[in-house]
Amino acid sequence: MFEWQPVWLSIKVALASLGFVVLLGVSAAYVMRRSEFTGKAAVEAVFSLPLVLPPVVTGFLLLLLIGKQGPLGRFLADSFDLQLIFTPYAAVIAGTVVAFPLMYQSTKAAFQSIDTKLEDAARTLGASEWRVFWTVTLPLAWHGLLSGIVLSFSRALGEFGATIMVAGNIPGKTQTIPLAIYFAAESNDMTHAGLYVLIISLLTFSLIFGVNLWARRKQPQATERGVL
Amino acid sequence: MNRPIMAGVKLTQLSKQYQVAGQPLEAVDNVTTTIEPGSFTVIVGRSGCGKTTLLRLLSGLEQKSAGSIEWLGDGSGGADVKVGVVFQEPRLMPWLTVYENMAFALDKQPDRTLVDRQVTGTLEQLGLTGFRDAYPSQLSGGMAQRVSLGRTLCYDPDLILMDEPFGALDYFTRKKLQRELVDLFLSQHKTIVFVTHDVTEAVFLGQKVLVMEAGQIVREVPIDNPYPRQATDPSLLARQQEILAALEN
Repeated sequence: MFEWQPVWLSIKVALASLGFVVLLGVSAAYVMRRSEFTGKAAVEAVFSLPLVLPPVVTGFLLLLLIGKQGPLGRFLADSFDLQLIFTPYAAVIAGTVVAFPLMYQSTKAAFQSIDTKLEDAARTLGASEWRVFWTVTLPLAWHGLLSGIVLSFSRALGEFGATIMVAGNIPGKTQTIPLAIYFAAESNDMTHAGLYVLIISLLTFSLIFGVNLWARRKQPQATERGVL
Repeated sequence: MNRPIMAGVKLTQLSKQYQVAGQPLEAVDNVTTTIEPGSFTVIVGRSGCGKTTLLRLLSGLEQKSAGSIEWLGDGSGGADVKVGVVFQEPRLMPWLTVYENMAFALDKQPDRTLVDRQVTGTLEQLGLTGFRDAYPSQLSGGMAQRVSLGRTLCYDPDLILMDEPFGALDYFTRKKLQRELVDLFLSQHKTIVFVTHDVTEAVFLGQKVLVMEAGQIVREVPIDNPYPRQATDPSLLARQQEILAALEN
């Protein structure tokens, strides 16, 4: 019997992660672009760490943080009677952490490539920093931001290592597509594993394809190079 | 709102220092001068003399290292002075139409009919009515620079700073825009500070020419000839020689 539950859960978890990732990634890139401080390189390195660490290591570190004995885990349990570990929320946290560097790097690169002259021009026309960001910086950087969004959504959708560490594999509760594939294959259920593989492949393919198509229509000069 | 229509500025021992390869560089070095409200001042000098830095200090895009900038004008408290800038490149937002670019500075005006009147009037004044819905990429260099000037006029600044705005244009377009700028100055009575390295342009436009060299104002040349001027006027040519001599010292 084929279960759709992991598909819906994966999409929900990836969307929630994406929300956090966009907020955190864009803010971090904005702040880092505008500030100089000692130790900036170290902070940059930390921001990129989840990209290069094995996901299972990221998951292990998260487990130390939000696990029942972890500082954050114990604080949340004591103060709010809230347990994150082995819940879909933990899957969202895992997805957010592993996808964050992709959004951060894409946004940072997009911000670096934009022409600050237009931002200056807007400032001399009385625009506040807030307005400069929304009406000049974002329109100039949207291409890079969009590729960051696609990359981090896909990354969160396919997250396995960190997710299994903190959210476990509870069918119907925390079992996402990648986990379902692994455990179906492990129990030699190749039909179901293959179906999940097909679904997640189609999902990510149509996402990238759709966004590229949309970007082309939106901006004619972007025809030669898609978003991804 | 009781803002002055035009503002002047008094600079006292204004300095701006940069660190270039570990060495301090005085881009603007102890500049003291007064720009009268409603005057047309031209700053002339070779590349790297500090004229653009001086303009950036006035526009608030750079912070001064030392000295003071004091705004002049009827009842201007100082902080409220609106300074508009026209850059060497048009710097238009490529995703906005000519009309939308011009309306950019008017976003705080809730009455859209007033915005429309202002933008339409400026479009007309600059001969841009037919380009209202065009995008910047569809404009020639001269047209784009006109839009850039119009955008600054729509902002309705008390002081307009212009950083070699016609430097990238061809000879004929440059001449035409110079004449239009004089007309605009005469009809709008705005304070204008205009930066150029073209001495002919300086004496054609300015009521006062400030000659800059290595971050300092080395000479102030008043030009009393009435507008409109003829570039071939012998007294203008004499002024031109005076400025060139000051530059070559």
